[in-house]
Amino acid sequence: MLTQTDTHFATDARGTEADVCLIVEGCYPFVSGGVSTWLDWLMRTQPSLTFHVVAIVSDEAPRVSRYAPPSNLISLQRLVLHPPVAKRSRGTAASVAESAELANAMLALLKPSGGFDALSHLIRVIRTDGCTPTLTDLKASETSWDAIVKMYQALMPQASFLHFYWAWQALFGGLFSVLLFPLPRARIYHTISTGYAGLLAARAAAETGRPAILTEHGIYTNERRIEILMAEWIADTVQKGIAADERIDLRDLWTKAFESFARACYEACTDITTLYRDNQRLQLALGAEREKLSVIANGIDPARFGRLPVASHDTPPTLALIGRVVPIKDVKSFISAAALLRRQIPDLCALVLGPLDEDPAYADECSELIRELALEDCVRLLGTVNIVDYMPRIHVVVLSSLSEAQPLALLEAGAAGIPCIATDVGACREIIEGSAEEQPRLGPGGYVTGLVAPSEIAAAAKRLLESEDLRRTMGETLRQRVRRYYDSGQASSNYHLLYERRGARTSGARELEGSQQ
Amino acid sequence: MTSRPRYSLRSLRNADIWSFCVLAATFAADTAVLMKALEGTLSLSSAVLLHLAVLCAAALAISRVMPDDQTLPVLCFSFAVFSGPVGMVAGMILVAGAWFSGSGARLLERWSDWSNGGGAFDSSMLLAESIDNGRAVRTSRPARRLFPHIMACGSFTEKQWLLGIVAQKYHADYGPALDAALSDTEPGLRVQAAAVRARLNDRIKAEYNDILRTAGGTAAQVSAATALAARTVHCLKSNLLDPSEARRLREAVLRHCQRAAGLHEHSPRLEEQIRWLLWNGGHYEAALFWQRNGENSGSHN
Repeated sequence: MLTQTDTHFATDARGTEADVCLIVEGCYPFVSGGVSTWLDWLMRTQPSLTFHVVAIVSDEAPRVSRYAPPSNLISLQRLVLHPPVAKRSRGTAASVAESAELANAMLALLKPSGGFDALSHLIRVIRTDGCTPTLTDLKASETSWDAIVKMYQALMPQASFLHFYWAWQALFGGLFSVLLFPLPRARIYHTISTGYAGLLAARAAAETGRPAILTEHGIYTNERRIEILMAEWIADTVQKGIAADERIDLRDLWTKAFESFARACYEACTDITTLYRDNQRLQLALGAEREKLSVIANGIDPARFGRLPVASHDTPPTLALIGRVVPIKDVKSFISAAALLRRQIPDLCALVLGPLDEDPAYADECSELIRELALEDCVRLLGTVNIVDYMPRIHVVVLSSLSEAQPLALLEAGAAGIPCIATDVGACREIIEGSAEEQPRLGPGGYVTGLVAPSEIAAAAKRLLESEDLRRTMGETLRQRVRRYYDSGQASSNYHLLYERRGARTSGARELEGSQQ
Repeated sequence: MTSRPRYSLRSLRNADIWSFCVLAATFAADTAVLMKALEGTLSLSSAVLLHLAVLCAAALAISRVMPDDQTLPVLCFSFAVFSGPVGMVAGMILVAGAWFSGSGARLLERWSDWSNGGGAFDSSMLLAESIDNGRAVRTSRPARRLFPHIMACGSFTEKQWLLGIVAQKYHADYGPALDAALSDTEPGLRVQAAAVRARLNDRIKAEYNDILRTAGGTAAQVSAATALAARTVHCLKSNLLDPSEARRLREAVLRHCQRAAGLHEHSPRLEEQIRWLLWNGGHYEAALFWQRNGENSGSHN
């Protein structure tokens, strides 16, 4: 049994071979919600398979596990990207390659042509003569210093060396940690993002020849790129102005590094799955091969919501936003839409169902907006509630988010037969209008609006609230779509089939193998 | 508060040129003394005395043109004491070398000083350094197209780059580009635009709260009130505040500034800010009143 604090995890990873090694970055089991919950669900719904989990974290700070380990989890290992480097390595360690060779291998990885082959070459260069260097050898030796200088001169000689040095330590220090990590034994390596997790999966594929699988919820490289382009902690050391300028500065270096990590991962993986089709455009743009791509949508248990009664027409017209009260959910647009709608529907009731404590300042701003718009008797922020208790009185569910992947709130509302209005983000359009592959076409289960568009939300909500027929038709359509495409049982069996196809043994096969021996 | 020394390219380069000139003049004088001594026109003791006098004058002159760095005068003085005019030539070579390499000890010391926050360079120095290192804007490169054009038909990468600029250096004129990105057909870009919007909102909210807090305090000096009004104008011009927030901010700052203006002497800058805030808030009559008031005070002064 694994402990729930992270200091002494079971570390049987080297000895026992698991069916699947899940590689995750910055989530399970130390952060709850989203991808972590999905990982917990994935392991629990595959009881015939065994799992190792490698959790990638940035530093050695103690962390507490937020999840009780499932019985089929054999080990949980932490991969620390930036552990303290022991002591400066004097001279060139015998195991470390020549600085020029190391620099050239790393430069090759960064090139647009660099990918899985470049990563495999880098692994060979680092392991010259079959010896494994230490992180200190790779990060703080004279060889690494020479390699840094060579890379600086090759990549961005006009930029600040000091900034380059620290960026190199951060980016490639993480890369070296991944390349030196003791790889758990598994039949399949399944990474939940590109980035450093994807690199470890690619390395596993290169070293073991076992299949690697990638499941992307959001597109990691795009998220990193957004973060890098907006980051205030990255200095602009080259004045590019608004000219089309090929000189490489720090932002370019960071972006190039993550793009190269993604390329290596996409090339190494035999299967690349995501939650919804729209994500595939970015995956293709980043170098994924079309034939490897597939969609496995997340699901819910429709039975949990299917028996709930639909809100009747003689109850006050009720809109609900189900979600955390945080800026990314753009709750203010929902409040503004309610203000517009109340002019036409005076007895409107607008509920916000979700925790208020994640961003208290934003929650206060929302309360203030409600007061300013004199909506105290109409819009209510109810905090965390049991959604099932409220669904029978909700006529329309609204999602005004600025960003989503595949929101469970829409699936749950759909399973309860409630029509939805959502912004055009993530999988919302696919859920509400159906994917291009939907056969037969079921029709719309609500409306899709633009982002930050209270008037569009108000107009769509008015149509639904004023027509019971429309509401029933769309609600029923959405219920059918959720049952057909978003059943968690189906998602689970899709992953099981994928694992089987790639060589995982079920417990039955293991027992048979054991009895034959 | 002590002000940091400010270094300009011209002063640093001029100091090098003057040093070189002083050394050249010293070389000429010292050579003349040596020639006279060799011709027998001067006695040996007089020649030595004159040699030392020339050196002292040179050292004094160099220390005047380089008051904060005595390394070179001392070095040249030492050369010249023992080697006569030959030492001066060595000194001239040192100065020229430092000038051409751009990495003389004095310049490096200035950079070290600057990077530790001990001194400041003027823009000419920083521009010269950028050009030397290849970091300056390359005016020869074709400029990117205008922002609206990029948002309308640029590539995904170009649009992402543009949104990065909007996030880092927001200006109210970038608002339409951000709005266009929020309704772009590419979901990845909409997500980035939403992240930019959230970032800008956070930033403006922090500024909004800080201004409100300050405006709620005791009446300020004219200079502080003017600065607060300027921040408010900047905030309002960003178009990032809700109308209700904008109204609240404007009114709080107006009260604060009008109080400050009433307590202190006539300040055209503060009155100009007050007029802008009143006009922006639709208080046209009051704005005109302040305008007339300002003109009257100005004419009395």
